[in-house]
Amino acid sequence: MKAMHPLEEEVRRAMRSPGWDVPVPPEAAQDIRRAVSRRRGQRRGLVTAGIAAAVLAVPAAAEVAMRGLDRTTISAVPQSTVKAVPQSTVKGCPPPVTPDGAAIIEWVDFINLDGREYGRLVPNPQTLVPGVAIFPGASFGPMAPVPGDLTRQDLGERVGVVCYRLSDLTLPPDYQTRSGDAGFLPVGTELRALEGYAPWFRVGAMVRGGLAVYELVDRPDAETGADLFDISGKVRRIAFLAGRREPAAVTDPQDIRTLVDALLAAKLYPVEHRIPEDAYGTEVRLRFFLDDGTIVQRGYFPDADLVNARAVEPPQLQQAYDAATTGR
Amino acid sequence: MASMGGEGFDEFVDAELPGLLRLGHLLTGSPHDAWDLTQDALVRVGLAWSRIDANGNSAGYAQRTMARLHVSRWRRLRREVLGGSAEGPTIPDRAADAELAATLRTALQQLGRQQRTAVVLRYYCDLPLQDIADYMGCSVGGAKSQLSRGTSRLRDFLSTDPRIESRVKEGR
Repeated sequence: MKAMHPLEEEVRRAMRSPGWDVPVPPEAAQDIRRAVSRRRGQRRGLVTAGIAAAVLAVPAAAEVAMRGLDRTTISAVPQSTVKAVPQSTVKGCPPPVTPDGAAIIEWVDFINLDGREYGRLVPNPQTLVPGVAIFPGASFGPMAPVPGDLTRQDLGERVGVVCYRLSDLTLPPDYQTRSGDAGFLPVGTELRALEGYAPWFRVGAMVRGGLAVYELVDRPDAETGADLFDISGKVRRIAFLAGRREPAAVTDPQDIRTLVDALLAAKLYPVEHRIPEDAYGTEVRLRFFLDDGTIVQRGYFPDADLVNARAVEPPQLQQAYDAATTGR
Repeated sequence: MASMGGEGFDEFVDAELPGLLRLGHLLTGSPHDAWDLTQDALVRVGLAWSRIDANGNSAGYAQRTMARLHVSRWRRLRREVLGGSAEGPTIPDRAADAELAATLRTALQQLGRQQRTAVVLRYYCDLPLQDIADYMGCSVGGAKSQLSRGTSRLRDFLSTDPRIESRVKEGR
């Protein structure tokens, strides 16, 4: 057998160090057993409904799949046999919608607060995979420029609470998320303002003893970039990342201001204004390094005038981007 | 109490959960994502338990499910699945191990999802290329390429760390 490089031996050793141990959450095994049991019940419901649909010769499954849903992968059939969606146990939460279809949905880690959708920030932008950037990414982990580490001390007043963890529920494929919905946060998790950020832009929550930070992805009432980004006067550097390279950076304060102002002033098309993914063109990641050390990152598609999947009206942002990247 | 996952599944979960969480941590880089990934995988294992148990190697099946889930989430969604944690790494007190774990964490973060998966399957699970390809749902050539590039990048990164370099020279 080929001898292993000493560094690879170190890697092997490091992977076995206690640093990678994860404490087993209390009742974790029980949670898994319950989930298996629940999914079995859902499967039985889906199979029954599938047979019913086939008998009726209704191409419902195909129709459901055609509808499509952001953030979801659906394998579904009509919901005549799926049992009731559970009620939230949190006082004051609205009742769940009445399902008219069943779906197995792969949720991402998001929350909906007052109609605004937030995505959970990742610890390090280097871990992001190339692809269509829809959700934000920011850094406050070990790789973040100091001193941007956010801690539980940064949590402020309560701004909301998780009413439903959607990954637990059986929902219709056209379900529209509502305030209090979360992909994975446990029901009852308090959402709190974060020191230094408008709550419409970033909120925090304590999850299993750690701070999870959520950043605005989109809001239906956004009309300009300023409704999506709370970064005015906070940016100290901008980088453009194409693939994994960092081909250009803007450090001149005037250039930074120009580009940020262009982004904030950019008019947004309504949410319904969709551009086919095959027309996106090359993706550039706009990475805004903030004064507090955190990073706001969005996918930008200059060819399609898209920022984070929202279409922006040219040409100001594109001009500012071109000027910044070409050095004028 | 009756077993909810099937005969022997409860015992399997109790026994394998810590190891699978650890694998999840290596794959995702985050203890929270590790839990989500492990839970998803174990639910799938539970649903297929009668078939898996009959074939033996349930732990291998669970690992394969985790690897595939980890890779396929990216492929399927074609967007960034958010996760991670604001917490720092869980580093043990022993200085040498802490140093290694912290450096490796940083190094692994440089890798793409597929490269990272290939590297973890190779060096943590000790799998041969054929199995890595099987676990990742790709060709042997594809797995080899991901592993090679991942290892090369790790090597580049780690070799710039003087502490690691000195450890290597010492032959530790």
